Amino acid sequence: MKQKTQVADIDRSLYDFRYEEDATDLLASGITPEIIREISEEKGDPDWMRDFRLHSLEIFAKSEMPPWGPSVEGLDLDNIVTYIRPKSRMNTDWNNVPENIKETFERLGIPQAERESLAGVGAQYDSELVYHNVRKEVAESGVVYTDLESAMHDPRYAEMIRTHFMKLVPPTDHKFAALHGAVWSGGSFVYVPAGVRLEIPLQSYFRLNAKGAGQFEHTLIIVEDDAYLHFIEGCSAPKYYEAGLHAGCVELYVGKRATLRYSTIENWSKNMYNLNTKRAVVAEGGRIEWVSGSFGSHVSYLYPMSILNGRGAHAEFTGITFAGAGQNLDTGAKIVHNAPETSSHIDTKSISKGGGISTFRSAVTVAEKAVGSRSSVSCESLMLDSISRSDTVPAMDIRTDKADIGHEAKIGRISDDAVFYLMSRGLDEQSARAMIVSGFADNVSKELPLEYAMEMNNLIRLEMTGSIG
Amino acid sequence: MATTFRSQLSVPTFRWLGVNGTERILPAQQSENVTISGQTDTVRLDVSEDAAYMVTGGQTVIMDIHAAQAYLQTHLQADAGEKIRLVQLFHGETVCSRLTVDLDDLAEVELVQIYLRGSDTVSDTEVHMNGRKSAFTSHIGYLQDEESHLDINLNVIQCGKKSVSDIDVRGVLRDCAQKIFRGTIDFQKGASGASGAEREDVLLTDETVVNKTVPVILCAEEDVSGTHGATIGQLDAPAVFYLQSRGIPESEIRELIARTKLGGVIRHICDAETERTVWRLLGREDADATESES
Repeated sequence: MKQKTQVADIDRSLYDFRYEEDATDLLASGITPEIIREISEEKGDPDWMRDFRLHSLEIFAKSEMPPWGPSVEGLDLDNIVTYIRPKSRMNTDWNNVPENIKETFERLGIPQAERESLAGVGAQYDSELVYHNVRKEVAESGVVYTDLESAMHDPRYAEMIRTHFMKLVPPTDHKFAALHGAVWSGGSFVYVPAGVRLEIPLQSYFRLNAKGAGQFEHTLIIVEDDAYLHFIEGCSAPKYYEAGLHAGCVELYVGKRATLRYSTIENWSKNMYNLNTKRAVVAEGGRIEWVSGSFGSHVSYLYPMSILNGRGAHAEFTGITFAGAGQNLDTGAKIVHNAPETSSHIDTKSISKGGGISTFRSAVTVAEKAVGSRSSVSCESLMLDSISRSDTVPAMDIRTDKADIGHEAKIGRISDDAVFYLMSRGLDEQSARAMIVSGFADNVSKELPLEYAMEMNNLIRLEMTGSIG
Repeated sequence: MATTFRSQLSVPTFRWLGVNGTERILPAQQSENVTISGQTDTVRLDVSEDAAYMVTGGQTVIMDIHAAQAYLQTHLQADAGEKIRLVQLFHGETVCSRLTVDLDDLAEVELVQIYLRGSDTVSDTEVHMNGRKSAFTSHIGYLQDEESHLDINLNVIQCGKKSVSDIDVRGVLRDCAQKIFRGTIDFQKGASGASGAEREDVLLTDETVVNKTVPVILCAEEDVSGTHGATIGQLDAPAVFYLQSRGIPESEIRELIARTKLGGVIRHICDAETERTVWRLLGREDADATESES
C-alpha cells in the first residue's frame, strides 16, 4: 500500500521581503487615455511614442481575453497600477542608488554577480531602471547597453528604436501586447555591433516591489552580423494578497551568422500574473538560443517565439517549468520556419507538485518556402503527486514535403526503483527524490552559467522541501 | 432544419494555428438507430447515406463508407469483459462521422480506420475508458491526394484503473491534400496504473500538401505512463536511391512506399475480402490474387 505525506513549503524569505511604497509615487489605477497621457508626459515621450501608446490603448479596449490557457479572472485590470514614479533617476554609480533599493538588489545578489561574472548590469525597480552599468572595455568595443528610454532620447539610437520598437510584437498581437504598448516603462536596449563577440553575459534584473501593480518593461536587443551575446534576465517580487501583473515584452533581432543566447530565471511571487511576450527574428545562418526556468507566478502565459527568416537560421529552446501549489504555469515555445534549411530544437521539462498545474504548449510551423528544414521537439513531464496536473499541447503545421519534423513527449512519475536505489546508497527519501528532480532539470542547468545553475538548483530544492510521496 | 456538426480539440490552443476545431452544416435528416447485437459472424455494413448504429459486445463490424454525402453516427458499447472490433473504410466524398465508445471493466475495443481520398471527411471519435483494465487499440491509415481534405479528431478519456490505450496513425499526403489529426489521451484522476501511447507517422510527397498534427496528453493522475510521438517528413532518400538502382522508376517508388506505409494498417483489418477492396482502391491491379500485404 502506497502512502503519501505532505508537508508545507518552507518560507521563501529570500524573495519575499518588501518595502512600503509612498502613495504619491503611484499613478491612479486603471487604464484610461488620461492615465496613458500622464505616463507619456512623466516620461517625456516623443510625439510618435505618445501616439503609439494611445493607439495601443484603442486596440487593448477592442481585444478579447485569450479564450484558451489558464484563467485570468483574478486579474482586475481596473485596479492595476500601471506606473510608479521612480524615487531615483537612473544611475551608473551604485553608490547613488537609494538605500532601500540598493539593499533589495544586494539581497538578491546582483552587485556581487556584476563584480564576479557579468559584463554589464541593469536593475529595474517597479516601473523604472534605477541602475545601469557596463564594463569600460565592453563599451569601448561599441556595445550599447542602456535603458530603452535613454536610447529613445539619444539622437544616435532614436531612429533605431523607432524602426524596431514593437515591430516584432505589434500591439495587435494579443490583448496584453496592446496593454504593453500603451503603458510600457523601463527595460533595456542592447546593441552589439557586427563582428563583436561578447563572451561575458549582460544581465537585467526586474524587481516589482509595489502592491497591486504591474511591470511592463520592454527589452530590445539588436545583435548585428557575426556578433555574439549572452543576455540574462532575472525577475522576482514579494508576495502580496493582491494580484500583480507582469506584461513585459522582449524583441530580439539576430543578424546573419550572429548568435544570441537569452537566459531567464523567472521567480515572480505566487500572486503574479506573468503574461510576457518574447519574440526573436533570425537572419541567414544566425542562431537564437533560449534558456528558460519558470518557477514563480500564480499564472503564466509564456511562449518565446523564434522566426527563422534567413537560410540556415537555427533556434533552440531549453526550458523547465516547476508548478507548485496555487500555480498554473502555461509555458512552451513557438517556432516559425520561414526560410530554406532552417532548423530548430525544443527540449522542455515540466514538474507539477502540490496541486500545481503545468502545461507545455508549442507550435512548430514550416512554411512552403522552408524546404530542407528540420525540427525536433521533446517534452517530458513529471507528476510528483495526484493532486497536481500536467498537460502537453503541441501543434505542428507543415506545408512542404521537403522537411523532417519529429516530436516526442513523455509523462510519468518518479520511478520507485530509482528512489529505492538511491536510498540503498544512504540517501533519505526526500533527498533521493530531490536528486532525481535535479537530474531531471539537468538539461536547463547545464546551459546556464554556474552561478545561475546553482540558483536554479536552490529553487528546485526549495520547492522539493516538504514533498515526500 | 439543418444541424451543425462540430469536432473540437480537447483543450483549445493558439487560435492562429486554426486547429481548435471544425464544423459542418448538415442537412436535416433523422437516421433510425440500428442495433447490432448477438451476431456470431462478422457484420458487413454498406454505408451510402446517413446512418446510425449501436454496436454491443462480442461483435466484429466492417463498415464500407462510400457515400457521396453522409452523416454517420456509431456507438460502441463494450460491457464487462466484452470485445468489439470495428473496421471503418472511408472512401466517400463528403462524410461526417461521429463515433463514441464506452468500455467497462476488462472490455476491449479495436478500431481500424482507413481513409482513402474523399473530398471532405470529418471524423470525430470519443472513447470513454471507464472500466478497470479496459483496453483500446486504434490503427488509423490514410492516403489523401488531389484536393482532398481530411479532419480526424480522436479523444481517449481514461478513467479506469490500469486501462491501456494505444493509437497508431500512419498516412500519406500527396498533391494538394490537407489533413489535420488531433489525438488526445486524457488521464483522469483515479486512473492509477493506466498507460497510453500515441504515434503518428506522416509521409509528405508533394510540396503543396498541408499537414497539421496536434498530439495532446492531459494528465491529472500521478501513477500513469503516457507517451506520444510524431514524425513528419519526406521520402527516405537512401531508400529511393536503392530502389532506383534496382531499375524502378521514381513514380513507381512513390506508390510502393505509400502502399508500404498503409500496409502496416491494412493488415489489422484481418478480413481478406476487405483487405482486397482496400488494395484495389489503392490501385493494385493484382489485389484479387493477394491475401494480405504487410
